[in-house]
Amino acid sequence: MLKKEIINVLKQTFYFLLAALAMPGILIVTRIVGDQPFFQVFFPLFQFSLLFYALFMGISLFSTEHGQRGMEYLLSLPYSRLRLIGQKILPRAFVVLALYFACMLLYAQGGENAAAIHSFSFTLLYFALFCISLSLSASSDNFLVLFVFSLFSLLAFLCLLFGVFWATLQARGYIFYEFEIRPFFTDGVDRYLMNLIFPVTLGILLPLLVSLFLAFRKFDVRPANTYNKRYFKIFVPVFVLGLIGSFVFSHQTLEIGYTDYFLTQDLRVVESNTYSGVKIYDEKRVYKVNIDVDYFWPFWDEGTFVYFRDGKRVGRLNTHEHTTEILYEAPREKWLDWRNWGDEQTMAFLERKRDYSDSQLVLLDIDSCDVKKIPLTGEPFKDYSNCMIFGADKVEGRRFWLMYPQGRLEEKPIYQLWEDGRIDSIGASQKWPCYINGTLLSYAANEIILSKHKEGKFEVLQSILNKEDFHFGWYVHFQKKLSNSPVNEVYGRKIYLTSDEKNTGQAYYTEYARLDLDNFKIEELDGLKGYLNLYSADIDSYYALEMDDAAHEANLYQVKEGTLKLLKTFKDVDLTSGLNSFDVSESGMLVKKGNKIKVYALPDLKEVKFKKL
Amino acid sequence: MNRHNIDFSSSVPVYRQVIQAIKLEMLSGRLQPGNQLPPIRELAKILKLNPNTVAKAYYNLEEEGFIESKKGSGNWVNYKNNKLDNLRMGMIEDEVMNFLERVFSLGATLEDVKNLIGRYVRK
Amino acid sequence: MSQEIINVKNLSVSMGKKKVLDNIDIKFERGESVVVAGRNGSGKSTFLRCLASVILPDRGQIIFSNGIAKDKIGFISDRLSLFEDSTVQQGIDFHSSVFGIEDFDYTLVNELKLELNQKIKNLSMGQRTLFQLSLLLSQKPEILLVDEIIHTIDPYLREKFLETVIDLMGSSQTTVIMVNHTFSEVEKIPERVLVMEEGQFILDERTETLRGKIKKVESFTPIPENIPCIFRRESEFYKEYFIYPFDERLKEKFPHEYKDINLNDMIKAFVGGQYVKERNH
Repeated sequence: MLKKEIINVLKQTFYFLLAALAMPGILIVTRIVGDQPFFQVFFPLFQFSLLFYALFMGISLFSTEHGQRGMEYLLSLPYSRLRLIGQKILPRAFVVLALYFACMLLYAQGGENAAAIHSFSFTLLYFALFCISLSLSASSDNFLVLFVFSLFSLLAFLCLLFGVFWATLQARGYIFYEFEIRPFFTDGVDRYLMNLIFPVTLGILLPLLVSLFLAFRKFDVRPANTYNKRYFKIFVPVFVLGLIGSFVFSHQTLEIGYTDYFLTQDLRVVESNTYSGVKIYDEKRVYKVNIDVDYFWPFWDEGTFVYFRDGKRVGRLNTHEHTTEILYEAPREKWLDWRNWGDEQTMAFLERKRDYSDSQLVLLDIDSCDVKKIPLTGEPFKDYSNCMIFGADKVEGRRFWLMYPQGRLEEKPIYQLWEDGRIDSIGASQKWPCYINGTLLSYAANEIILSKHKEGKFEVLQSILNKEDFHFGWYVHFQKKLSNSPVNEVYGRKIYLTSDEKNTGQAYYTEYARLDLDNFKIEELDGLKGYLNLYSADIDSYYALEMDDAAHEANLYQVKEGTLKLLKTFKDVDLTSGLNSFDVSESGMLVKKGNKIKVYALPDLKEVKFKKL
Repeated sequence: MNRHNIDFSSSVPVYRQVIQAIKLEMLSGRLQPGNQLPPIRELAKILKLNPNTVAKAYYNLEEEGFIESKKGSGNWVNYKNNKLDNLRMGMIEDEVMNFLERVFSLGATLEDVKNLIGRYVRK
Repeated sequence: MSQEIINVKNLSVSMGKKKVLDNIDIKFERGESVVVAGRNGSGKSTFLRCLASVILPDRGQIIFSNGIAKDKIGFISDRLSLFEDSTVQQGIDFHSSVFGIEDFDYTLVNELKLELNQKIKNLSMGQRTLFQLSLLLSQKPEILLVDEIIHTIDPYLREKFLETVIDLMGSSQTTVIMVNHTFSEVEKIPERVLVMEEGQFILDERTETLRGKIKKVESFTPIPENIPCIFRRESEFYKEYFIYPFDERLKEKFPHEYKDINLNDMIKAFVGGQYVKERNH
C-alpha cells in the first residue's frame, strides 16, 4: 500500500510543481512588471505557493478514498489503523521536507533579497500548515471545508503563539511595547524569540498530531461526527496540557533582550532591559523610570547623575529623583557612533550618517548642555571616517582631542583635533596609543615613545625600550580621562600564541607588566594567569579581575605598584556561557550569576543587600 | 433434476428431497450403476444448495446402499438389482397413499375412486 | 466440525445518539453458513461491517479464533468500495500486493470478459460485484461476509455469484455470512438464520429447526387467542396467520392445515410481526 501512496504523492507533487513553475506565465509577468530578474519574481511566488502545497498535502490525505469511494475498501485491508495512517503520512512528510530544503537552497542562492517571507517565518508557517491540515484531514470529506478550516486554524495557531508570548511577558512583569505584523513576515523574529518559538510551537501543534493518531485508531466509515467527537475529546485535554507546558516553558526560559546592570558611585543599581525598561534599585526599594530610548547604555556616572545614551540620544538619569532628561538628540539621518569621550566638563561624540559620511564631533557641555559641533573634514577623515577618540586635554584654554583611525593598519596615524577644527598630525603608532596624565604613549617596534605637549604641539619626551612588546593602557575604555587614576603607573600586557609543553595544541598566553611613569621602568609581573581586566577604581590603586577558565574561578585583586593583593575569589564561575558577568566600578563590584545579582562595595568588599533585586 | 424440484417450504428436509430426486433418476434409468454422480460441489452449484446438504444426501444414499463413495474419485452409482425394485415399490406405494389421502379428504368414497381409475385406465 | 471461529461479546455501536448495535453476544463456527435478515436500519450491515472491522465497536469485542488474521476475511458490500480510478489490472495488482497473493486467478475476470485496462468506475454493477468477489476469492478467505448485493445484479450474474460462493463453501471450510433481503435464490444455502431488529438478534435458529417451528394457517375464521401467532394478515374474508413456535399439540387446539412456508415468508413473519425475543437478563 505504501507504494501506491508514494506514487499518488509524487503525482500530486508533480502537478503542483508544474503549476508553480509555470514558466511562460511568470516570464510574461516578468515582462509586464518590468526589468526585474526572473528569480526576483519567481521566488516569492514559489514561496507563497509552497505554503499552499503544504496545506494541500495535509488535506489530501484521504482525498483518494473519499473521491473514489474507496474508504470502506481501505479500512477492510489487513492493516491496523495506525499503520494505515502512517503509510499515508510518511511519503507526504517526505516530499514536504524535500521541497522545504529545495526552497531553503534557493533562499541561500540569494532568495533573501527576493523573498516575500523571511525564512524563519516561512518555516514556521510551512510546517504549521502541514501539521494543521494533516490533523484535520480525517474530519471531513469536503475539500473546501477542510481548506477553510485549516486556514482558520492557522490563524488561531498564530494567535496562540502570540498569546503565550504575551502571557509570559505579563507574568514576568515586562512591558510589551509594540508588535508589528508585517515585520514578522518580512524580517522574522528576534534571535532570543527564535529559540523560544520552536518549543512553544511544538506544544501547540503536537496535540493536533497526537490527537490525530489516537483518534484515528478507532476511525471507521461512520459519519464524520463520530470521529470528530472522539478527536475533540482527546484533543482538548492534550491541547490544554500542551498549552500549559508551552507557557511554563516560555516563562522559565524567556530571556528577553539583555538585562544590563550598572552600579553607581553611591551604590545604587540601575537595571535596564529592552522590555521591562529601566529600574533603579536602592537598598530598600525599586523605582521604575520611563525613558524613551531605543536602548539604555549607561556610560558614565557623576554624583547623582548617570549619563546614558543610545544610537541617537544622550541623556542623564537622576538616580535620586528617578527622573530623566535628554541632553542631546542627533538630527534626522544622523547617528551617534559608539565611540565617545568625556572629561569633567565636556562629552565628545562622533556623529555621522549611516554610510559614515558627514562626520562631526559633537561637544556637549555637561553643565550648560550647550552643543558645539566640529565637522570632521579634511585629510584624515576623507579616508577614515571611523576614528577612535582616546584622549582629550586643554592647553592654554584651547581644547583638543586625540584620535586615530580604526581599521587594520600597520601604523595608526595619530591626530590632534583642536576645538576650532584644526587638525595636527602627531606621528603614528603600531599599537593603540594611550594618553595618560598628559603623556602620550605611542608604539614603535620594541619601543614606547613618550610625548608631551610643549609650546602648542607634541614633542617626544623619551623613548623606552619595550623588549617584550608589551601594550600598555589597553584597559582604558576611552570613556573618561584617567584623571582619577594612579598617575604614576600604567599596566600593560602581551598576548602570544604558543604550544604548551604537553603539546596539547596552541593556546593564547598573556603576560603582564607595569610601566612606572616616574622612572619609566618596565617591570614584568608574574603570578597572573588567565585573562585580566583592569578597572581603575581608586585613587592610588587599580582593581583587577582575573578570569581563570581552568579552575572556573574569578579572582579580584587590588593592584598597586606592581603588587597584587587578592581580595576575593569567586568559585564555580562559568565564564563561557555568559551566565556570569562581573563589573567593577569606582564604588564597588556587581556580580551576575544567572538571575542572581550580588553587589560588593569597595574597598572592603562588604556585600550590599538590595531588597528588591 | 433441477432446483425447482427441491422445495424449501416442504415438510420434507431438503437433503431428503435430494435423495428422493436422485432415486427418481435411478428409477427412470437415467442413472445406471457405474455412472458417476456429480461431485458434491457441482450438484450444490446446480441446485443452489449448501454443499453440506448434498454431502448429507450422498452419505445417506451410501448408507442405504445405492451409491459408493470412492476416495479421490467421487461418488458412483452402485446398487444391487433388487434394491431398485424395492425402491420402486416403496415409491409407488407412497404415491398411492398420498393420492388416497387427498381424494378421501375431498370426500370421495372407495367406490368413486375405483370407478374413476377404471375410466382413466381404459383411456 | 464445531470449531468456534468468531466470538462476539457485548458488541455495541452507536451512530450519534442512536444505538445501532445493542449489546450483541453471538458465536459463529468454522464452515457455518449464515443468513442475516431484518428490516432496513436494523443494524445488519453495521454488524457485518464490524466483523470486517470496517466499523469499530464502541463497546465490546469481536474475537477471532487463532489463525484468523484480517487478511483471511473477505468483505463485499453494496457500496462496492474499490479504488475507482484504478484499472482492473491495477486493482488486481494492488490487492495482490496487499494480501500477498502470488498467482491471481483470472478465471472469473475472463469469464466476465473484463478489459484489464478498463477503469473500475466504468464497470457495470454486476461486473464490479463479481470482480470484487474474484479479488476476495484470491485471498482464500476463511470468512466471507456478503452484504445485500445479490438483488442488485442481473439474474445471470446473480447465479454466477452464488455458484462461486457455493464452490468456495464446498472446497474449503469457509464461514459464509450473508445479509439478504430476498431469499428465493439463497434460501437453501444457509444452515442458520439470524433476524436482527433494533440492534439485537431476535431470532437465531438452525434453518432445519426453524422449518419445523413456524407454520402458516390460512383460514376464514379467526384464530383462537391461545395459539402463538407472530404475524397475521386479516381481511374480511381471508385470514393468514403465522404460527411460532409450532407444536403438534396445536393441531388439537385448532385443527387446521398448518402449512410449511419458505424462508421469505418466515422472515416476513418475524420482521413484519415485530416479534421481539424475550431477553434473559
